[in-house]
Amino acid sequence: MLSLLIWLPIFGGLYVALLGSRVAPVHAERDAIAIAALTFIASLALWAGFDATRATMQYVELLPWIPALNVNYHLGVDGIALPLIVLTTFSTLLVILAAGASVHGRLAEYLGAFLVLAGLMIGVFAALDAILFYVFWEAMLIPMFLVIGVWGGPRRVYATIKFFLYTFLGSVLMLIALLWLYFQSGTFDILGMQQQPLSLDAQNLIFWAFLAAFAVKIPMWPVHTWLPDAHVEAPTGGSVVLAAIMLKMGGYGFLRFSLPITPDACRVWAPLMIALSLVAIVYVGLVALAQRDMKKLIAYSSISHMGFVTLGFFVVFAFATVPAAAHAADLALAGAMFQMISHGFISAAMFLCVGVLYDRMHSREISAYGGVINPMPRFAAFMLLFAMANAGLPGTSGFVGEFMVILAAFQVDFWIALLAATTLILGAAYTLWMYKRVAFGEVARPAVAALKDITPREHLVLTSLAAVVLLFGIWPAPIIDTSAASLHELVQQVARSKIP
Amino acid sequence: MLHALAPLLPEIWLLTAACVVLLAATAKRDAASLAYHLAIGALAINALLVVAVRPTASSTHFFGQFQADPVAALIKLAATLMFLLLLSHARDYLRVRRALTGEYFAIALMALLGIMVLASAASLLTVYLGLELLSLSLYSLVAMHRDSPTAPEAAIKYFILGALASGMLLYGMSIIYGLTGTLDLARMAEVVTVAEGPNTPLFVFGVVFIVVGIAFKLGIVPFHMWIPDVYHGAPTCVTMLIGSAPKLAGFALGYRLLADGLPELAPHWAGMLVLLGTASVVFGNTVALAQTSLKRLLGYSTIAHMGFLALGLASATQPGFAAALHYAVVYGVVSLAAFGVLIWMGSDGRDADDLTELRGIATRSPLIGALLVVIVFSLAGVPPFVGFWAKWFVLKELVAAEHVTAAVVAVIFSVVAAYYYLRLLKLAFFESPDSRTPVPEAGRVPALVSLNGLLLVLMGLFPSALLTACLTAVRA
Repeated sequence: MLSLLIWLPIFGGLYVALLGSRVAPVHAERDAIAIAALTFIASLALWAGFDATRATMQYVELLPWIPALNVNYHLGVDGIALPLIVLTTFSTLLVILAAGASVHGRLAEYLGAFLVLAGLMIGVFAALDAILFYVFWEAMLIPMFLVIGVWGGPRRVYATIKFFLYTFLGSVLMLIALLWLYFQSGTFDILGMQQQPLSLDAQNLIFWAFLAAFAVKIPMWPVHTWLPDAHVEAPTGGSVVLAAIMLKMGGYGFLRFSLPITPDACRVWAPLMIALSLVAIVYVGLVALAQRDMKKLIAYSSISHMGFVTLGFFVVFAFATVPAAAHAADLALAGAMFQMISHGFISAAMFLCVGVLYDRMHSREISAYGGVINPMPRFAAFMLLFAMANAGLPGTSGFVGEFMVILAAFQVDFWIALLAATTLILGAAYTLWMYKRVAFGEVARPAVAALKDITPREHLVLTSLAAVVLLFGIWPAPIIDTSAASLHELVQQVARSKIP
Repeated sequence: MLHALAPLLPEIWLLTAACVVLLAATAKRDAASLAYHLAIGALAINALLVVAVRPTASSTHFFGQFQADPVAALIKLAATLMFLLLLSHARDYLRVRRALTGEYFAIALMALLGIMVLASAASLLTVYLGLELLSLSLYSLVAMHRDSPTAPEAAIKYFILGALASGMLLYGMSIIYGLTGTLDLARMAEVVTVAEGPNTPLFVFGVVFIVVGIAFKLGIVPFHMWIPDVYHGAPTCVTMLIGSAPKLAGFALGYRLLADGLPELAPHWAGMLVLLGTASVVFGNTVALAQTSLKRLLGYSTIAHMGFLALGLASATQPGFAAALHYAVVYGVVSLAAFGVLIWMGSDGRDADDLTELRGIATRSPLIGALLVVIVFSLAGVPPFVGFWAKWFVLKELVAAEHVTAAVVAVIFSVVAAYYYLRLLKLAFFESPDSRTPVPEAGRVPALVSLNGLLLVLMGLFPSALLTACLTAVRA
């Protein structure tokens, strides 16, 4: 089942890309939509058959890959990976649906690249063998590198090479840490590595090697600088996938590797991580306020929101060892997890909104717009909803995760919670101010007056996103229940010292 | 007698075939074509013979001069298959330039014979015999274009530096011989059973010169100076030859002398190789950043790659040697594909060398674009392509041998390397071409390079076969 989810989009994508240049773009698009839809349906079936009451890995597949060196083709999902896989297939489907309007030239190759990318990303979330995980983790860079470089904006070459080198540097250090762990534990099985006792010194080194990979990916301040560049230059679909899924891989890495493999080092470094998260939330939020470019603004807002995720991960260490506060630890992790999923929807929606405007005006400058609500009322309504969700309005999914993390943070320290809560003000300030300057006011420019409202295809994409944002805002239980058992297991794992 | 010679059958066959090809090259009509077909036939039969006489365990023959073991068999088979591809490319390359001669094929067969003798060497004499047979063939191949402005210079440089290195190697060998009183590598390993003793400084002195010789043949820092000039000066089909199969010979040289002959001195030579290997990875990748010529760029990238190979040897464990052997095979296959693309781009008779010639090539010929993706990411060591497994295996054994610092330096400079590799893709994909005409396709070059590229993908997705083969060969 998991293999199908991984290889269907990869082979489908290669098929679309290779045959695409011989057939009309419409046909390539039709094939790509069919493949993406099938993958999405398969992932829903996966969810339907998932037993959320168990914390163990499900749908496990184990085949020898390199038996002589103990490397296996080992797949499986738990409550942490599953929502991210569904998020991946959902976002990919939206990206493919939205691509036709914004990509001119080599459409088939573009769609193919995104399908391949989707398969590789599902592989990252499903891999249970460290080397298999690394293969997917790195291979994913290749299609993204090409997508930004071929279909990106004017500074695309700089942005895409920066993106590649940054993430590559982080990952190779992780590779060394994984190899070293192999010689300690004798297995490349991630779950086996999680059981390996390690001295604090060893844990510290491994923690930093993992941090190099995951902090760059998620990204944490101060190694976030590749993200605004990559987002601004990437085509709409690239931005959506980057924000909605690739950033989550950093978070997933923390949950799957850093926290369970090096819990004691995490405890030692938790104050620093919390501090960096708060810097991301407050300082990067202020930076977002100063942006003139819409995509850059959303990129900084993503970094700020990801600060909540890392905050949620590391406040756990303040009370994981206190049995009375175990509930707060669960709450923090569940909040961070929910925030990852919710941000996937909201950032995708925001980037798609910018994409809709960019396709019509070919400008991302906020000052190039003004009064968009007049020619495009329906679009402006959607964008308002997503802007509110981005600001964390109760009733939207953006509120739930942030609120849970802040609640948990309160039990640690009032000031941490207070600083984290400033995001509700800052987020509202930069998002709504941007919305005001883009949508409201007099129509000052003739180009804006000539704008046409959204097409049925765009309508479909934005409606489905609006539906999930509202649905999970009002009824977050499906996501929280799916991951609760696995996260609870993780909290218990984290609470145990691994120092022999 | 015949039975005793059976393990040498491939070498005997190849020597005979090389002589026949040389004679055929003097035929009156179609000499070159005849020589080519004979050479290809000889290689095909050679591959079959290597498989037919492959041993499962190590044994010594021919008065203790020749050993048949699975490592040698693996090297011979890989080298023979690489030569099959090499000669096919060379024929098309030379024909377009009206430089097709039969001698090329005869000398190439001699070079292969050198690699095979070296791979099976059981004594210092055979090591040297194989090495010189290979080197002399390569010198003359580089000089083959006597009217070219760069080739003779490259050949002289290669010859003088190569002769110097051979001299160093001989000096080291003579010291070791003087201390142990034997040329036989297995006997030598028995005599040198104690790493520390009154003779240790002398042994280390000898080992230094032997390591220098190996480092030169591999082309690692600081004995790398010949690589960029020779790569750049030689005709592309000869650069391709130097850049692929002889790396296996470099591995064989190190493996036979150090692992077979001087295992007890491992702490000494491993330390030297870690230093040289790390320095190569650092230096090669840094200098490659500044190159504007494709062949020089590949030359500096070779220096870095051979640094990785040396790091594999430096682990001084059986899996470490397997990793180095695997690296040599993989690098050979990747480099064949890279030079294959260069040969394809030079199908109009002009050598493609400047980086800017790649500009927009993916638009002109999408197939070259796809191949470049596979090749570049293989060279850079990004999964799922085969180059990743080669680097991964070496790093794994380095970490196992507790050279973690060297491993960290090596991966960091692999990121540096990614920059200049990505620049190739940037030129090919992100820039618009000067002309819209597809790159001309001469002979079977496109088909062969595509096959080669497919091999890189398959070896990347199914790495087990080659990795296991290397491991079991070294352990036998």
